[in-house]
Amino acid sequence: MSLLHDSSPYTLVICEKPDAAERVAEALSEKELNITKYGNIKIFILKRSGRTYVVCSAIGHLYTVSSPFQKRYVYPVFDVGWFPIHMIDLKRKYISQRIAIIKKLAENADVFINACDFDQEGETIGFNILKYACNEKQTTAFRAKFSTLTKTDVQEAFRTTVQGLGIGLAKAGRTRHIVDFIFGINLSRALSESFHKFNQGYRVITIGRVQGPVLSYVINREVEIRTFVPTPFWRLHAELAKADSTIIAAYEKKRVLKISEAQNIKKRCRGKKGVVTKVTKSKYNQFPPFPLNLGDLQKCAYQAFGFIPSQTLRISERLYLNALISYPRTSSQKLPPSIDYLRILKGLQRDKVFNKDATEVLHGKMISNQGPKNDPAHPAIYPTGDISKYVLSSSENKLYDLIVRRFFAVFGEVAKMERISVTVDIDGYLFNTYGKQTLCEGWLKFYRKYVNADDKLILHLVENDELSPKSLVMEEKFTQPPRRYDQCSLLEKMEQENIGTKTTRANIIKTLCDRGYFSGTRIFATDIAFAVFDVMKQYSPEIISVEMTRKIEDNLDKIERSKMDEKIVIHQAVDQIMDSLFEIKKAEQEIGGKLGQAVIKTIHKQHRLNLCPICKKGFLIIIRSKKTNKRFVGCSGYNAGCRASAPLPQNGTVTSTGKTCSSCGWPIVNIRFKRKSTWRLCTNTTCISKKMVKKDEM
Amino acid sequence: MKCRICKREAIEHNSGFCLYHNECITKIEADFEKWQQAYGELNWQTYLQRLSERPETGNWTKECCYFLKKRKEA
Repeated sequence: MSLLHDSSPYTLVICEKPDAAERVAEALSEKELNITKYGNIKIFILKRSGRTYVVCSAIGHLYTVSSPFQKRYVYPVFDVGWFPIHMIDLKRKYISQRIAIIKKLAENADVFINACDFDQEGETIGFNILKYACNEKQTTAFRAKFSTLTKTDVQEAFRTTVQGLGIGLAKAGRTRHIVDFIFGINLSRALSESFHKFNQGYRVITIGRVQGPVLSYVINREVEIRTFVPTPFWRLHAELAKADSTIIAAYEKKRVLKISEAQNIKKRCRGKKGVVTKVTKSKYNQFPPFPLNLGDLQKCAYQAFGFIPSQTLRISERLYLNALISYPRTSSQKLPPSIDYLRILKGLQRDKVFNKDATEVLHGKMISNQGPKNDPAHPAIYPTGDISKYVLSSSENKLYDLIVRRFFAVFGEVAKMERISVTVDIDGYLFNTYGKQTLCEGWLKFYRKYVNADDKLILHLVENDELSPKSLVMEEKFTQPPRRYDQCSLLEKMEQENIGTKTTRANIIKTLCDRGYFSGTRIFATDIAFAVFDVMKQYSPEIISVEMTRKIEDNLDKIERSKMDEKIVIHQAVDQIMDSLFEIKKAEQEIGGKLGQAVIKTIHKQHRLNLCPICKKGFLIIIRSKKTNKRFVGCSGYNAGCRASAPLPQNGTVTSTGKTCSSCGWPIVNIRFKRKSTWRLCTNTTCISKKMVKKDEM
Repeated sequence: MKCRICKREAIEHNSGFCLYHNECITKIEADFEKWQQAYGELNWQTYLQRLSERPETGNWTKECCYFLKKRKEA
């Protein structure tokens, strides 16, 4: 039985997501667009040049790599294949209906068009649907390639469909999934089983091909910080005045390594006049930024709004699906003229927020600055110029503003700046100060709110000017440990080292946080992370090395360009992992013990608050009562007689702030609820500050 | 053999410290000279005391400072 009333053959279009399918159908439809619903699944039927088109969609991946053995403790696993997701993940049963509908639609279709996103993931999604749900149509299907979901782009893509385009991408994508599955499933099962056999309870302990090197970056940084030994040095600043204005000049040596030397300079210079010996003015250019790729967007959004990379990816995908921006999963920093700058800028002119800037760019030369990175699949991220059909959320609005302003900035003129350096001689010792000012704003006028380019003005000085002394400060300083990674700088590091893909990087970091390896906004490595790292270093050092994962990435690139057979890469992965698994199995008891201790330590640290304000010996810890299953705060010195305790709210995640209440000395905790609201409260129910609030309320 | 500070496995060629604490001890000893030069006169105990009080000092380094101080006192 056909799903459609008309039994004549038609063209079946497969999209990656339901929203994309709707956009594609709207763009292709010449007259009316029929929408048929099967449960929650929409099918779009339309006529185009006298032919019927049926547009259906996946919902991300419908097929996944798995092993026929469902028992989670079995390893090694090398017998892998592609399975419908609902067979593997029982929570996603809704996938079965979608696959059944696509299979039914494929029966009467005579032409197939893959309209999934044009990258490794999108190609893998389309390839699998065509192979498994459409009866092996992956090689005969046509490919529609577009970078935005605007009407003109989609129509152009369907006018120029190509048969067999993207097969290399699909092969590389499928191989990536298989290799990652082989590494991930085997090593994670080996670790989890080692833990399970020699400890109470079950805990998923994972490690993977890309997770390994990322873990190693964070651990290495953590070791640098924890083993850091600061060394002292001194800085000298002189405050000097001319008439009513003052300047602060720093001693020419940024670090004076001996206190005696610093004291001597201070003694010699104190109360002495300064003479300006040199005033240098130098002009320099600040070139416009490069067009945004996904990594750049994630960095800028983190710096400007504090969005973590996975959040930026999610928001940018929503903007793409609403045809406001081009495809965001790109590594390109180039904007070719073929995207039609004029049309985009005229579109942006219609938006009153961007009208003035868009008009200004339109009156300019309209030559885009181009970055070095290229992506053959998609150009850099740019606004489409379409007006939003719905009201953007606050975060969508922020990100859209950033993308549009960056787009304007890449067309901007070079900004011209002037740097003024002044050298002052105080009793033979040289002190420097500098200022800078913008001579020509150029691209900065479009993008100033997202860059730190404020002018630093200093008073007008000429050579031989005499400056009267106001003060001379000698500051003791210490060398600083390296900065902790945050999600953004870690993503940058992954990008620099070329590990993972632009799509997967943010999720890998998120997975490591979810597994309890990392904590905090500035990333701290937990004891579990150290234990997993130590085990891997001992038994499978390749997995935490960048070289191995980079080599695999190179091989995947070769598969994409049809210069390597995927079987070779899979066999290499199997060979590599066999030895590691053998070693881990041999040392299972030792590994299980190590991991168990680390898990207990991490949990204890998470549950430990501050020093008990009552007994001042034990620590207040978060305890869950075995009798009532309710959580509360209690003292670790209970057995020694301390009865300090306080109830806690039973919902939400409790985290220690590390701070104590100024009124009673009890710890202050954060309680985060699902809807992102956070309470910050003193754990002491009889705290004076709470009584004062209650009194005020009355 | 276990590390005398953290009970991790000690490295073979060392006198009872794990890899990380051994690295700290080496750094503490190496940087003593820099501190002495910086402050002119500075004895080992004062150095350890000042080092352990600095917020920049790494946690493992601080553990080593406490250990070295106690060893000297004992």
